[in-house]
Amino acid sequence: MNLEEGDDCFMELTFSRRWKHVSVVRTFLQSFLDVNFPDGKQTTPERVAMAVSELMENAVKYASSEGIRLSLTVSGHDPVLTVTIENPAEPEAVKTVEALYNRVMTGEPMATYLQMMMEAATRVEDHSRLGLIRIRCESGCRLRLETEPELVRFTLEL
Amino acid sequence: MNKLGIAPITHDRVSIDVADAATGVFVSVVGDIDMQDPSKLLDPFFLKLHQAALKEGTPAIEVDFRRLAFLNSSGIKALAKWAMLLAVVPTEKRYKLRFLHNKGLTWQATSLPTLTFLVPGAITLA
Repeated sequence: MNLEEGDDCFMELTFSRRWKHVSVVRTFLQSFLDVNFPDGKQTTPERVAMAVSELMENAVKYASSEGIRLSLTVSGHDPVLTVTIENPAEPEAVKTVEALYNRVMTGEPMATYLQMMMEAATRVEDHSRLGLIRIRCESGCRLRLETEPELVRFTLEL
Repeated sequence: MNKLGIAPITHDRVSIDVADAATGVFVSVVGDIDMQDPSKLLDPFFLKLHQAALKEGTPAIEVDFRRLAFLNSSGIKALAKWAMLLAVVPTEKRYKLRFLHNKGLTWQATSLPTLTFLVPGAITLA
């Protein structure tokens, strides 16, 4: 893909489902955004990198096969920053992610975060289910979910 | 070794140390916690610390997060579980839990204050 009119940079990366990619992407993205971050925004490269890290964790957990794709666009027009992370997923996993997203986007963010922390603390399963609500509360970005029968795609926009 | 007999941990990119302090014990957490399932590391550690502190009547546990650059959401869950352990301890038997945080790190400025609301009055931030 080439840069479109008004875009400063575009990148696309494809990963396998290895956990070690999560921290590599977070570190790289934060360093990249430290020198390419759009001016005049309330959020920071650290917050965006945290959000991408949580979405990468979700993608690794829920991916049904290899091929987690991350794309990033920094643009001179709105949205000035777009990060998309998508992964193939089993239909059941797609439903799980949809339900979690709908829960996270409901209510006042910090109240929902507190409630979900309480639930996480008393749940036995290893998934925290706190990543998306954390993004809503901490990232300073808009979060959007799109799904297809066997695909999950999250988009962060600034 | 500290008076609670808790051994330090170094795992992956995080190290956790426990030292005696005038008011109890001081726990320092340094590095990044971003492993896939930090509960395997943190849950037993926090439980041991909690039980030892109650047994010894430790007045306070101070946890220094200021050099913990990153904590993933599974790590936040582990902290929430620790906080909820205090919820079932009668107030007069609880130790004081104090988190030292760096407001310049977003996760510490947002997630740590939220954790203090889980058990009102049990955790303070500094």
